[in-house]
Amino acid sequence: MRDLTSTIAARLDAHLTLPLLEFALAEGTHDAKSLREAKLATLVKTKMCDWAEEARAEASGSGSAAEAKARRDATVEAHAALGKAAARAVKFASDGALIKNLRRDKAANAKFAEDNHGVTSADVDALYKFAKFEYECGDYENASEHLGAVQLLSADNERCESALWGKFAADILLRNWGGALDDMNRLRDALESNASTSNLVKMKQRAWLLHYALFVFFNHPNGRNLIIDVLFQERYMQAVQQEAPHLLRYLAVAIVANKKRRNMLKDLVKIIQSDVYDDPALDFVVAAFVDYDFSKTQEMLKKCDAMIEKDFFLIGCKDAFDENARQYVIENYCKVNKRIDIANLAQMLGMPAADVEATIATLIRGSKLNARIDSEAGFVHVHVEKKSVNEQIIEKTKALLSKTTALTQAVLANTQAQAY
Amino acid sequence: MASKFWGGSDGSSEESTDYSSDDSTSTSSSSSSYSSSSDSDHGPSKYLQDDSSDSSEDERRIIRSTKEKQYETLKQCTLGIRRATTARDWPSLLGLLDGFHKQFLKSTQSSTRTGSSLKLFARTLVSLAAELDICSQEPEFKKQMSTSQAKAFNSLNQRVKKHIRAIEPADVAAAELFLKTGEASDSDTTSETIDDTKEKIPLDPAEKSMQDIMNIPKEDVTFEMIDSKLKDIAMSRGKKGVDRTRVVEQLRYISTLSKCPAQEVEVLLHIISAQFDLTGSMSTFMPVPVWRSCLSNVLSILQLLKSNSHISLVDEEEIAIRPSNDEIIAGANIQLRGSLCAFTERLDDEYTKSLQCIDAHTKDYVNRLQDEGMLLILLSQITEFYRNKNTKHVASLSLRLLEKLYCKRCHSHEALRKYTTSKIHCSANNDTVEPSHQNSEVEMFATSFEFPAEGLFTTIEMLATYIYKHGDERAKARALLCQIFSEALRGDFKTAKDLLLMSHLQEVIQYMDISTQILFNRTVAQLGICAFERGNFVEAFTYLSELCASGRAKELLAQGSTQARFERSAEQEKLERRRQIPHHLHINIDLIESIFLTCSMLLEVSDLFCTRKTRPFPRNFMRVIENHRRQLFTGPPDGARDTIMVATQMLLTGNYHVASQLVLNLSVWNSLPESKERIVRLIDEQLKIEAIRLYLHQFAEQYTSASVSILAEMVSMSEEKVRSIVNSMIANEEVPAVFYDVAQSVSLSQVAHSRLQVAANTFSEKVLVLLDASERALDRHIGSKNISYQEDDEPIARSRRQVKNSADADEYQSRRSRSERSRFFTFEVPDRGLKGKQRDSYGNFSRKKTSREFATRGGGKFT
Repeated sequence: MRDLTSTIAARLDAHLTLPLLEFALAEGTHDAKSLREAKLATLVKTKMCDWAEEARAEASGSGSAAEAKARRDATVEAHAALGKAAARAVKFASDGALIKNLRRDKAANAKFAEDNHGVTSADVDALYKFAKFEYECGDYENASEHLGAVQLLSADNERCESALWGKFAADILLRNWGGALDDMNRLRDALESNASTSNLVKMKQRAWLLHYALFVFFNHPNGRNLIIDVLFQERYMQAVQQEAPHLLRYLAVAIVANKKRRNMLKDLVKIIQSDVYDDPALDFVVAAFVDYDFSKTQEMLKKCDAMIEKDFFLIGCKDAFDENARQYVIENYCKVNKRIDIANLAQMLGMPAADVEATIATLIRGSKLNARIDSEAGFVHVHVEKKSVNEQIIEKTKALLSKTTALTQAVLANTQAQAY
Repeated sequence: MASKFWGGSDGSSEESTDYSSDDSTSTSSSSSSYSSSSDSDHGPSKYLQDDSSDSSEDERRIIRSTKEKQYETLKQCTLGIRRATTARDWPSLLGLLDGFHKQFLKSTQSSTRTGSSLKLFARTLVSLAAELDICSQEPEFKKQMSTSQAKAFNSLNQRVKKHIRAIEPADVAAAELFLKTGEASDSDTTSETIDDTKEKIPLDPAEKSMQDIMNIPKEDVTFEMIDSKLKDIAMSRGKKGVDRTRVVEQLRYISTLSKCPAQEVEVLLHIISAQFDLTGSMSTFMPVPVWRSCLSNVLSILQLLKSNSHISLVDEEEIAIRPSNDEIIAGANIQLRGSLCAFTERLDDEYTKSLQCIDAHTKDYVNRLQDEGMLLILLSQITEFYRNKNTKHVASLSLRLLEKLYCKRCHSHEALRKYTTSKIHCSANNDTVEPSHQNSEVEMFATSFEFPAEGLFTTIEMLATYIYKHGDERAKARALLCQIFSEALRGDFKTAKDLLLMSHLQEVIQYMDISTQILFNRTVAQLGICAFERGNFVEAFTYLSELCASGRAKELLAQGSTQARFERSAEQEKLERRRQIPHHLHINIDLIESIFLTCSMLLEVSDLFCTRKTRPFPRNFMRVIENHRRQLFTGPPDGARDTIMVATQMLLTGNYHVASQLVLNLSVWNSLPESKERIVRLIDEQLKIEAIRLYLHQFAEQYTSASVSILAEMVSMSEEKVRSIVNSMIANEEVPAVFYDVAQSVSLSQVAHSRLQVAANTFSEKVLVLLDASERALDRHIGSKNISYQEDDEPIARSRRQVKNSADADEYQSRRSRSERSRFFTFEVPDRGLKGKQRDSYGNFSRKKTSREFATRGGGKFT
């Protein structure tokens, strides 16, 4: 089974990879030593000196204390210097009431700030640099606030975009999912509307965005709907297929775990079949909904359980996935088989027989299944009825009326157009 | 012909024709005494003879040798000419001269002693030339002439000069001398002399030197002499009656004389132009030896240009003023007119043309193919030469190079490289044996030119990248197609497909030129093969269906035409012949067809019986099957098509084993050597699945239960696999059945229909078909209005007809390629075009439009 930590980390900000690494350490999916080293390497890239030292100690690497001290001092100094440079802008930005008053019109905002508070574009630049530094130091809260201000004030599109990326990351790290969601949507708009980037670059950016967004998708209460909506957008699906096919795993789990989106399974199957992917979640979908190979389904289900437990993002929707996946399997099983041995099925799915019975009972009650449960013998008997011919014909001719109407209209519209 | 007033001339011309008719007899019996044979031998011409030509009648009894007789006639001619000259009757003189020349040629051929007749000929000519010269210098002369006279005079003038040029300069000089001194210095000729030649005019000195240049020793030739000779040759270019081969030979000789690099380049430029002139028409190709020497000439120029930076070639702009001769020798900057790019392109064209013309099954063809290495060297060298100088040329040459490389496989490229390198080396080693001029060129190869060192794919990638950056739209499209083709050939299906889909070429290809469309078709075919090799039957089917369903795959790939379905003019046919792809680049049509039919069988056969219409009815495939069934006598399968049809029949009767035997042992799979085993295995797997599905579809109504183990045995497959197939069929409601685990069997439910029910069912189906047909009719009506066809343009109008013909397949195809699948691959389409918008407004029609992956191109991509 493939672990995606490193694949995903390749397209995340250094700070965002840290939670992944922590999780991997806790779950022990990888060799702890290499994980510690990776963590150290990541931390060294940031300016979070204290944490880096801790990590160094953990990784049992030896670093001179004096050196670490010097680095820390340098960082603190730089922080102070940048903060001083951006003081005016920081003052402006930290005034919540003022920021709230700002509108979407950037030119007006900048003018307002300059006229009333003396914040010039140079100040905004300084603020941006300061915010970036804050972010690197791990002060995400301030960074997010300041980057938000930069994004409102700066007229430079590129600057705004990078400020948005920064704010997005900071909000994720703050676990401010609502804010992160806003950031993500704004960033999506910004990326799409940027005329200067080529299609290829846009696609790569979309892929990056999706990786960041995984945090939102699996933590925001509405995230699992969102991932389906976003990924099934044509552009994002392209990006996934071209750049990051491993993300399909998350899509598959999200769909299975989300009962309301069952109809999306068909679309997912089409995408999966267009290429070869090696992933337990996708294999499960194929086995359960295309091949109807129940022994394979069962095998894949087990693999999926193991996989989800070790996945930083998916662990939250484990229960939902488990429940739904099994229910789907039971449904399919009942559809195909004439006589169902409840105990056998329960064993196959690794769930108690009572639960299986309950699920089947629900199915029968919901008239999705024409069957009777023989509880004593532990069997379910399914009655098969072929649709009567009347029904068939009604179904066939159902669409005729609307189609004919459409056709008539088309003819009329066309002849009228000719008449003019 | 000659006028009737000149009996003598008439006779001579008559005789000259006579001799040409029985040339061999007269030569064989040249020395023997031979009675005037004009009566006995000449058959019909005797009766046709003009009665007024009494001279031959008179001389009948006199017995003379052929040679003497010929000399006699020659003399008659000279007299006639002289008379005409004094009378200044130019038109008749022209005829006389022709006859005279013919007679002269005859006499030189038949007799061993040509000296006398040659002298006579030379003298006559020289005197005639002198006379003409005088005439043209008279001030009033030209005004007096009528137009016909003037015309005759001019052509006479030219002809005389031509003849003089054809004679050895020494003889001309002797004749001149003779005319000047006016005395008969010959002792061995007959006593007659041309004594009444009065004019003794010294010839133009420049002309004299020109004649001399070929004879005088090399050391004495001066720069100016060569220069003037060159000018003279340049003047004669394109004129009627110039012996082009001779010009080339002369030039080649001159090139050995050249005094400085600049002059050498100039001479070489002339040689190349002259060599290209050798083949005038577009339908014949340049002789191979000439092509080779031409190629080496271009390379020599390149070499000279490289080592002498003061010489430059200019092709478009004005050339700078030519420095004086001395400066040129001294090495001043000089610009010459000529384009290595144009030469190279022409050579490339000639190469392709020769491959189109030579029979592909002969040794000549193989030999010719060996020249490709040289051509590749030339192309890459010239490209390198232009790099950083002229991006336009680099782009166009890169494209040519790319088009030479794109359909090569790695190993064949390596083989070519090995062959060419070894040839260069070996000819460098034994250069003493080779004849001199061949030698020098080959040696040059060895010293300075190497086969391009990069691997095939890096080269292709490099070239393509360059073209994307600098080429024009057509070049870009072609380069892209070449790249896709090469990727597909390499087996990298995903990259190739992504490239194609990202390029959106399929949307605009119908507006491109025909040769690009051919390239597109080739690329699509190759993609189809590639998909098939990877076992992706659906994609292979999509790519190949349009090519194959039309039944004109050969034509679409420009690999020879099927019988003309449409009237073609000779012109069109010629054009088509010129577009043909050389044989060694052909895509195996049999293979394509087998792939297509196999895919059709695997994908569509169950649709024939499927009660739930998830996909449209496979009309095309059905037609093929019907055609096969309609045969009165079906013998053992012969050929891929037959075999697959028989296999389909076998599948329909549940006879999987025979079917798989037939399909898997098709000999065409051998042309996929790398993937044969895998592909055969994949086909087999798919066949098994289809066999089960078909079996269940067909016999569901006759059975109440079917044992899984028997089904598994039927196709030699594991029971789990069969269960999975059956399960998915049940779940998708393809067959009304459930699986009964106690008996390990499928229990099929049946419903008996009353006749009324059956009739109602059929009726509803027919209504659906009707609706479908009207929809399609309207669709076509609306669609065709928005495409601006020009009725007057024949090929396009024809393509429209084809669109109509293939509309069924087209429509079907567009529905078949499943919209959602491809939706995620196509990039955002900026402008969907008029047609799309129009359809969108009718809601239900837009469905068909969503993914016309290839179908949009209609049938008219190659007319």
